Amino acid sequence: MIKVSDGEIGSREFFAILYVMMAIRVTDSTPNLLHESGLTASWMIPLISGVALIGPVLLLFRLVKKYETGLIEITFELTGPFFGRLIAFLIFLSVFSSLSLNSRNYADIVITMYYPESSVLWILAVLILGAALYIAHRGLEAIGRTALLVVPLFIVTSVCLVFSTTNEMNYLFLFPIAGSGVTEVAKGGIGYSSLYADVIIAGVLASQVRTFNAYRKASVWGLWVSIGKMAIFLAVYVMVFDFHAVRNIAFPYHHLTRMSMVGTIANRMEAVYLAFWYAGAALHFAAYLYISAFLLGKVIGYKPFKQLLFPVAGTAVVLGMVPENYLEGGPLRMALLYSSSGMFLLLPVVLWGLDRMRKREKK
Amino acid sequence: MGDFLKRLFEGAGGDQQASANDVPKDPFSTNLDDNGKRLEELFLFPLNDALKFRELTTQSGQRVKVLFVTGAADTDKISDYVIKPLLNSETEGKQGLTDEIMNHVLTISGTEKISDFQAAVLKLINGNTVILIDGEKEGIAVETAGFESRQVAEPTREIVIKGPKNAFVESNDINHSLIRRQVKDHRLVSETAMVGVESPQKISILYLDHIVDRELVKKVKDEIDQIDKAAILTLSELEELLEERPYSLIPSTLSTERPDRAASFLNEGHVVLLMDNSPDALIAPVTFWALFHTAEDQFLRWAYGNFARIIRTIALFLALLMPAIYVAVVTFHPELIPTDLLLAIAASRERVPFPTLLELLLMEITFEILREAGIRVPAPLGSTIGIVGALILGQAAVQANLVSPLLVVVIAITGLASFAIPDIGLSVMTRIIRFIFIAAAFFMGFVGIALAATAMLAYAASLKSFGVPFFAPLSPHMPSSRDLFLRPILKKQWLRPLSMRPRDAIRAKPKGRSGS
Repeated sequence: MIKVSDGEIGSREFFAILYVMMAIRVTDSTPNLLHESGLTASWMIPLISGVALIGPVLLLFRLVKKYETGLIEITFELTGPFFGRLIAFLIFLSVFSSLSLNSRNYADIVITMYYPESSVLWILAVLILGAALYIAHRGLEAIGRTALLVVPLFIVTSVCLVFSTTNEMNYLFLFPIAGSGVTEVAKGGIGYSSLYADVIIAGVLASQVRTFNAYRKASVWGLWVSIGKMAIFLAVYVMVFDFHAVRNIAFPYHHLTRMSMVGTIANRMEAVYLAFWYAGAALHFAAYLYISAFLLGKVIGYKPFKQLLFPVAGTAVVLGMVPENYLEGGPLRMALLYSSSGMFLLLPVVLWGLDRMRKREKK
Repeated sequence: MGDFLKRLFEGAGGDQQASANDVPKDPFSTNLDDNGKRLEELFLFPLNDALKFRELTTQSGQRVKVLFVTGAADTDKISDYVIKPLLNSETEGKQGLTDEIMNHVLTISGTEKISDFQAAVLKLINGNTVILIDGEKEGIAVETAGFESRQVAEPTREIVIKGPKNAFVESNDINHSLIRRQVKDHRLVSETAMVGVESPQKISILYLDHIVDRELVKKVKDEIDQIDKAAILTLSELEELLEERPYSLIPSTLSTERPDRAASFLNEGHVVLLMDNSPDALIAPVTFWALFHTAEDQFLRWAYGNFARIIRTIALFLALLMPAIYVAVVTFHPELIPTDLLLAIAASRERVPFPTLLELLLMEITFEILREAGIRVPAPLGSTIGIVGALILGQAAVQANLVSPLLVVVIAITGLASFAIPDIGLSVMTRIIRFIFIAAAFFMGFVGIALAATAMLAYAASLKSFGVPFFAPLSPHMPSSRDLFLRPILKKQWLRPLSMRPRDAIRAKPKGRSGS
């Protein structure tokens, strides 16, 4: 019998959480990184990342199925308390620094594109301390349910955006099809695979998903829908702006929304997209905050981890204020993505290897 | 000494009367006069003329006392079905006089044996007649309740054009019969609970035993048991006491005045509470969909019902967001408005000295005052107030340059939209949340609206009413007939929403044609 409110989430809610964690990346400066390394073929990079992630994700599924619990508990079980804590701390660091850097990034986008007279701190604080902290505080159920309610709207707005800019597209801009070269693109694909490592990070929540099948189904769907969306949007950016221009555009998504038109009456629709994008951002950061606090709780062995939400959010805002401007954050993000890519690709493999060794020892 | 301390701390005055529940459970004595005297004392006899009694002697010389409370009991019934048969009865020398009278003399349907004073008092205040017989340790309570009640009338809040037009009234019995008429099922259970320590009132808990989740019934009963109040007069009071979050904007129960709605909730596995004096039924648990749907959606044909629902969805969003969007667009995102309209707005606002927010709040508050005044205004004056409020005030405010004409349109649309929201709780909630959105829009434009909306959505989505999430079965997703924003045709509504945890989830499954 299905229990309605047992603190666990179903497959659709988990899918929605993964969607808000990953798919929103098309709107920030991630496409710039990918355009830089893939040029006209940047749309292939997410697909290659997806291929690179198949192995680790399948191994993770095996582990979760076998141990019937979340990623962190598995790590503690297999590597012992010390290394377990260390790995949990490393994951926490990557999640937390991504939270902090991205939140600054989002605040910068708003300041640059929409509200040039507001201060970064104000936007950051309202976004992270106000909305995301509140949503995360209501718990994982609330994040999942809210995400499930609004994700269909996000998908609809994305489709609308693509369709309302078809007039501006030129598919010939996608050629040469291999862009910067096959090896460059493949390297970029593997190097940036941590953009989708959220699917592995979200494994820490696996024990809070109702069934293993729900977890697996949601992970697979969350992964390919986000990758598909990124690939489509990268192609759209190149088709609309051409790759020379797109490398110099700071925030292609927001420039795209400025080109979106509905007939001749409403020809400046960007504020509408802004609203939906920011609702998504609040949920994105809520999920990140929740996972950060959850991991930190595991690291320091503190059960009521919800009390850590506020310090984590406050620190994220303060650290987000450190870079002088948006450009300083860029290299940091790149370094973060590259270093965490290796970690997330290897973590399930290492855990799986340890699991095998243990099995052999027992025999 | 102990007694004194007890009285000191409990604050019980010396001459305070015990409430009905505190009447000692002393058994009747065999002496008729003693019993009568005791009851007189309990009802403060010479002072209080409520308790009436009639002493009579049967054909065989047996002394009998008939007691009832005026106003509560129906005197015609008493004289026809109690006193007349008693006077004509022959009861001499028979054993078990009480049984004899109950079984062979009284010609009224409901009788019950009682043996102590507490039961007697409870029966009397509920309109029953108590018959005491000399020499017997037991009395008889006869159902003669005759509280004044009005006729079943049309609903006033939940009006439909097509569909049944009777509404609950203040009488519990009539309300029961209205529901039984809809749900002809022997498994419709009606349990009784008492609330109120000083003046206890009966509450009926109705549910369909083969559908409802047993835990839900237990939860509702537990909640009712925990209520610790002197007197509860209406269901609305009970509603607040049952609620898990009395401060919250979002209601956790629903009151309906339509028996057909109550019946359809019963069929989905909800619990319905009825109470004397309340012309409505309380439904628990409640979801957003229950607040958003109306009875008519199902009565109208599929397309018509869904058209109404689409309009209502739009109205809900307009009522919530229209003024906030106006503020956001005018102060932060003027590029959103087509140029011609933008110029028109600028021209109309040119002569208004106030900032947009102030202008908007002025108009909003005026409208809210109008609405509140409209409810209290005596009916003959209503139309006059409407004309003064809407026409003269609006026109004059624009001409006096207090507000711009466009804003009057915005407020009027918002007001109209909020009247389209069916449930009173949802409607008031929308009106209050609208002000939060206005503030958010004023501070941060669309970003503010988006963040406020997401946070509030997260709050609403995390709420539970008696364990059922507010947006279930949409989010969290549960199997159901998808009777949510739109409804499927009736043939496809064969599954009860699993979020209610029904014991029997499947209504009659369709055979053959799927209706497409």
